Amino acid sequence: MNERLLAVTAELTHRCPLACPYCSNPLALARKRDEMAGGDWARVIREAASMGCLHIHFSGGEPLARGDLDDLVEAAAEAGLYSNLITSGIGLNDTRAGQLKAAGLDHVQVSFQDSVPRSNDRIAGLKGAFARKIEAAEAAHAAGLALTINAVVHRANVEHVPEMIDLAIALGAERIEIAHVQYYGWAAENHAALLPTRAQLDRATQDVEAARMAHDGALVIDYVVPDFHAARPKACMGGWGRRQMVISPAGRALPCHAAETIPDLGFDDVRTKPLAEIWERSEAFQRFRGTAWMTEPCRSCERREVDWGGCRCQALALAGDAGATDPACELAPTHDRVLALVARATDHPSADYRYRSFSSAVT
Amino acid sequence: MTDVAIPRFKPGVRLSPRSNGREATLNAPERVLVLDQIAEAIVSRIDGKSDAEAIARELCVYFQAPYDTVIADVKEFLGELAAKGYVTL
Repeated sequence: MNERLLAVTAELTHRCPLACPYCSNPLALARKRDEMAGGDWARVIREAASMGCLHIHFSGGEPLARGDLDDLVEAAAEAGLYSNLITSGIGLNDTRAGQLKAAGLDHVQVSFQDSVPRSNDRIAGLKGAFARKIEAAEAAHAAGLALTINAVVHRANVEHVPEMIDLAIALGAERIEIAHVQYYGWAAENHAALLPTRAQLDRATQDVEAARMAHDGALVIDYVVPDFHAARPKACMGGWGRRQMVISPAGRALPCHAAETIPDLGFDDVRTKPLAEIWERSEAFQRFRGTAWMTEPCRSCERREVDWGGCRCQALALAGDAGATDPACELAPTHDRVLALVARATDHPSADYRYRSFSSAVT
Repeated sequence: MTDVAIPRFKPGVRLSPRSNGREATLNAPERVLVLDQIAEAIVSRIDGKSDAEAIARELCVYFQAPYDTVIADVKEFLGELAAKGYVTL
């Protein structure tokens, strides 16, 4: 097959000290009692490596909330995987950074919600978060871990892109990932408060381009644009079931973070089947793999193997059909629904967030 | 670049050598470069001390190839790695 698993995102837990209103976790969050045991995670890591997988991203929730994170990092290092910790930074200090480095961790991504402390803490829903993130980033850098700053941008902070880039440089980061909110899960609940205006987006894109020129060689700037304002959809996950797998806290193998929103898709538990079998043959990974499932306008589109029809979850959420062309594409018959959402968020912006939480989770 | 430039990996860049049927790769945050035999031979000699000339001299012996050809290849490849952000020179 043309597909090869290159990277696994291990969502170790949904527990998190932050409450960001754009969290990519599902609305129905997994509880601690639902989380897969460390021994199962370690076995899955070894299976992925034996399939030729190269990278593992430890994510969540907040992966530092798992008491056995170091064991899993060690399992990844022993299996020869390149490991990445995606963290809020809460709980990462000099001691923890040193322990993780010793366990074999390669790279840390610390999120910042804004370059302005008070705004950062408001968006994160946690007082004092900014100061702890600074401590975390400095600890990672001091421990000799490669450091990326993750900045998710939206209406409240998108005008601070230059300051966030300056912050990344001041913290010794080699890389910054500036990603516009993707509107699934919690973010879809909050789009009226999060969607930037077209003018804000254009300004942010200019800021990124200027910073790339100014910091060439010193800082890698990766930039993810919001497809609500684009002419063509993004290649979600680099194509469904093509290179990547997400494993949920409860051990379900998913083609993308939000795949569980597609109601009639069956997901396998990595504890009950070999990972290779799930990757090659499971219904969830086969359903939208390649191009055979596509309808028009995707089927005959010259970009069908560039954007792979866009995002299945967005197609379901906005067009009501996970097999439809992503409405973010201007060729999609349902593209006017995206335009309507953008217009509504621009004309009737909301100032309030519905924060991510266990208690308000709907099922 | 010059013959005496010393290549050094940027933070977070790590070589995964060929093993068990898996190809050699150069790994960095969110990026992977697949290495062929010659590329792996060059990358595996980056130790933060050896300059391009020293790496080329070793490879001349390893590949039984003339120095002029090897140093040109080494410099071209290291230049690419630097441009892609895997090493500093």
